[in-house]
Amino acid sequence: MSKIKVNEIVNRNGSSITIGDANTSTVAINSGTKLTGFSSTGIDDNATSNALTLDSSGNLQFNSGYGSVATAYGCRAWVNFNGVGTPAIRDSGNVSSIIDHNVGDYTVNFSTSMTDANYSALITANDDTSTAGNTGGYAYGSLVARITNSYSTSSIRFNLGYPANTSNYDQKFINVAIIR
Amino acid sequence: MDKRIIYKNTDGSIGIIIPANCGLTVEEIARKDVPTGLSYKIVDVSEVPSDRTFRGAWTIDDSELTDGVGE
Repeated sequence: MSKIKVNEIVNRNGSSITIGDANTSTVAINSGTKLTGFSSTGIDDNATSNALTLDSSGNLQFNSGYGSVATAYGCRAWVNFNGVGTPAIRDSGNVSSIIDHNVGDYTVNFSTSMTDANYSALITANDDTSTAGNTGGYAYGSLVARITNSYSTSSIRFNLGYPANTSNYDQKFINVAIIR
Repeated sequence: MDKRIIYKNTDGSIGIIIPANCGLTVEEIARKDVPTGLSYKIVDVSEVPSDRTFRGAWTIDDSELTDGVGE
């Protein structure tokens, strides 16, 4: 294995420097080495002073208007689906399927499980005015908490209901986002 | 997807699984998301009723659930 020791590498022509070739190449940065060229505004492993950080624990941290550099907690799964008529998924991320158990009673299954069941689930729903029989435009947005089997690492089950009683209702626009 | 996965819970209620476009096949989703040990059937979406007035009364004969078992 050869080793070249230099204090500076600069481009000879143009504005780019290419490392490696078209075949599989690995560029390794030893621990303790920082990409200091980005300091104060860009990527570094120093969360206290830089705009974007990927620390040694794998935490992605950035400022981006927080006012300070802090860990970003991502949306780990999301889905937008129609629960009226023939329930159907409009689009989703990290969701393998939804289960229609009964009127206003659904499960969202995750493609990749959560690390634990202590995530935050944001669930909203509303009807619309274009379908006969729907309660025109009323945003139920109500989660009827299930006593058991609500949160698990691989799925979440929930009910959608009308605030004034305990019945479940289908909704046309159902949105679920899992934050962890 | 234009397929649905039907299974029957131990209490007799019917679960309808709507697969997502997640990179898995409908067969893979069925094995993953149907509760362990329950038999299922994969059908076209057109075979599932759209009138949900009596959704809780839906039923299916066990002999129809021949496409596999949830893992």
